[in-house]
Amino acid sequence: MNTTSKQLTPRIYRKIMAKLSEIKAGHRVKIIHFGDDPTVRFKLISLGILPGDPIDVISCAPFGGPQVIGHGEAQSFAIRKEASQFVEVELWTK
Amino acid sequence: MDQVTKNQKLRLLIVGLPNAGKSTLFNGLTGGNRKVSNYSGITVDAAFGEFLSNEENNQSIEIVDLPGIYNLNPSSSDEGVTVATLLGLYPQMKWDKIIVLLDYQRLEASLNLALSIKEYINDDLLFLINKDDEGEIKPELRKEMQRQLKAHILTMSALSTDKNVIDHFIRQHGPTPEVTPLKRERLKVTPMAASFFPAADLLDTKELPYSVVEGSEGEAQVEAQIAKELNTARTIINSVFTERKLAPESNASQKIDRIVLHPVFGGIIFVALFYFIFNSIYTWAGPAMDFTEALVINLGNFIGNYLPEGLFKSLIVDGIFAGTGGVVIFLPQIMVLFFLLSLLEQSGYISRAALVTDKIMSVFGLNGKAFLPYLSGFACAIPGIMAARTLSNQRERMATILTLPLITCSARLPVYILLVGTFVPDTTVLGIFNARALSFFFLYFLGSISALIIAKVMRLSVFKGESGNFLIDLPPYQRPSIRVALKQSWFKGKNFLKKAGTVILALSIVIWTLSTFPEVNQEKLNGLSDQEASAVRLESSLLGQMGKGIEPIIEPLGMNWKVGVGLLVSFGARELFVSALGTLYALGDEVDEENEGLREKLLAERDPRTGRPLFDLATAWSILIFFVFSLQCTSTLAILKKETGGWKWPLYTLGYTVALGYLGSLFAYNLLS
Repeated sequence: MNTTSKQLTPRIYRKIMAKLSEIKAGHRVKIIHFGDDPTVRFKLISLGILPGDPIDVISCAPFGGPQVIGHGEAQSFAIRKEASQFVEVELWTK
Repeated sequence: MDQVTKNQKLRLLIVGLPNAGKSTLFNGLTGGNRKVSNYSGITVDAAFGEFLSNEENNQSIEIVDLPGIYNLNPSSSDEGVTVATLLGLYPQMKWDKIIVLLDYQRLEASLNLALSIKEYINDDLLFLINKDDEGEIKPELRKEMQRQLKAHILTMSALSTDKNVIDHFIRQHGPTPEVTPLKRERLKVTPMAASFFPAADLLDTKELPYSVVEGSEGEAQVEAQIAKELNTARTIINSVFTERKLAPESNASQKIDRIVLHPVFGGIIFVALFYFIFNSIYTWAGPAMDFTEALVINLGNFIGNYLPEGLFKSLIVDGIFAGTGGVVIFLPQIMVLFFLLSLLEQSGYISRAALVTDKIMSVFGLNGKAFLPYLSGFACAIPGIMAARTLSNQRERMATILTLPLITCSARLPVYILLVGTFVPDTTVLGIFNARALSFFFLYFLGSISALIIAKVMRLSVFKGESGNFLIDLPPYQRPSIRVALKQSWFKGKNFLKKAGTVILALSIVIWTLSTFPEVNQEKLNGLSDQEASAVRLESSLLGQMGKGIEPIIEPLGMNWKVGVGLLVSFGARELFVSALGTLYALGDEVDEENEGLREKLLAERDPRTGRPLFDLATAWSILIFFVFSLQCTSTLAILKKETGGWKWPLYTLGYTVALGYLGSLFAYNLLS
């Protein structure tokens, strides 16, 4: 990589669209779309989450189990990968 | 209504998110006198309680603790109960006012729910904001919220706020002399949500207080309905609070979760915790059990010494002490188990355990949320079956409740302890394992794995269909209170003793009567030794004849007629197996005046013809395996009937479990003998 361009743009972030189920523990992402399952949509909104909100992937349970998600308020919840694969998120990465 | 008389009771509902602290509030205001009531033909897990302060006040207040909800579109049957109550769908369940309990740590979600209740149910609400432990909602902030929400608000902390302050607030603002019906918007629900409401033909209203909206357009409308309140909630919160500090526990909880729910450590922690619990039941409660047993036997003999020989003495010593006492000695185990489970439940780990097990459960066509019902099933199938109401998928719920009777409940414990403790040698196997501990582990494991396999079979056949979604919220971890755990343990122990003192006592007397009468003609006993005479008396009694009657069926299992009697009566309640054997062996043992327990008597019994021991390891395992599988509990059948709405499924469950028990028992006996 050329040093001048590195100095000019010290950090290059890329915006990636992904499925929530693909996000590994420790990342913060922005929710774009909840997916088609109405129960998941209703429940997520009722937990206080709207599209556009940032969420944290805290952990992934053993044996490929549900993902543990944290968000703004003092609350975390778990979601099965079958459900989170329909949730579209935006990830900013280097 | 200016003069309210004392007998006009005001009924208040407490509504809020799951884990908002409703039950703690309820217990604080009522002194914890929960009573569970039935209405509209279904058992509802709602607790009704009278205010402690009713005695000093003219106005009596009754408060109802309802299952927690997230929104007004229920996704499980217990949420359905709450929403249906709010909508007034149960004719017998009228209410006067709603208290919304908000959780300060989840204010957006709480306010979202509160606003939809205000919008679609009733706008005369009382708001209690719980978990404001640091007193962050200053009076001017509270006033501003009151102004915006147009409702009375009390901020509180279940930890520190005086109950009298809450009581006073409710008394001051609770009674509303006249309710002005307001034109409100109709609640829209999806067909799925409506399926958790009582059937429309049961209702006495001509017009339903909600509209069912179908298809993807309907879903979009419901979504918009929920999201609209959330946006309002956010606007209010942002305008009132410039900065909101959240409790440090939430960060700590996320840190703990990184380890407890770690892909590798999570599994290890889970197994270690539950191994510790089951291990401690035996190691801690063992000495206490031996002590109780000695106490019961000595007390029986002590009282027996003061009674004249005859039928009455036999009733007291052989019927009541040997029968009921044999069951009472298991009190320590029950209390230790519930003490530890309560600690675990309070800590917030149980919902994490649901997560850890979700993947395994999904292999068997079940949901991680079924973990709690199954776990409760280790105590008793009945609360387990009730807890399965939280499962939103009907087929998963059916597969869960119809296999719950296979989980080793505490009523099997007396039978297991008696037989394993008597017939399995106290030796070390495979270098480190105790043979008895391993036997217990095997019995529990066999029950659990069979439950899962049969659930899978059901999910592939009678309850074939898609899996439900899995979305579960994880409350922050809390330091469990020893006091609450002791209270729980005491409460469960008391219930156990109550059962022993009523049902088991009554049935013990029945068993004694049936095994004493009809009395044998004295002539027949002439020339027989005392021991032979009492054996003849027992055999010709009514119960003896019944046992003899089923002997041909159970002979291939290596069981004699006395065990047959035990099995017959155990279909009333499993503990009765032990009481029946206690009474039978006490009666058939007139010569032996030594203070022996049932264990020694079982070991000593010989076949009168061959002189060989009647009971051996093969017989013991044959009985054990039968108890692992078969549903011998009338209360479980009754609750299954209630929850499935008929006799079809309870009988189906009874049939398959007894068949499995018989076959398993046959297999075990032939393998070992």
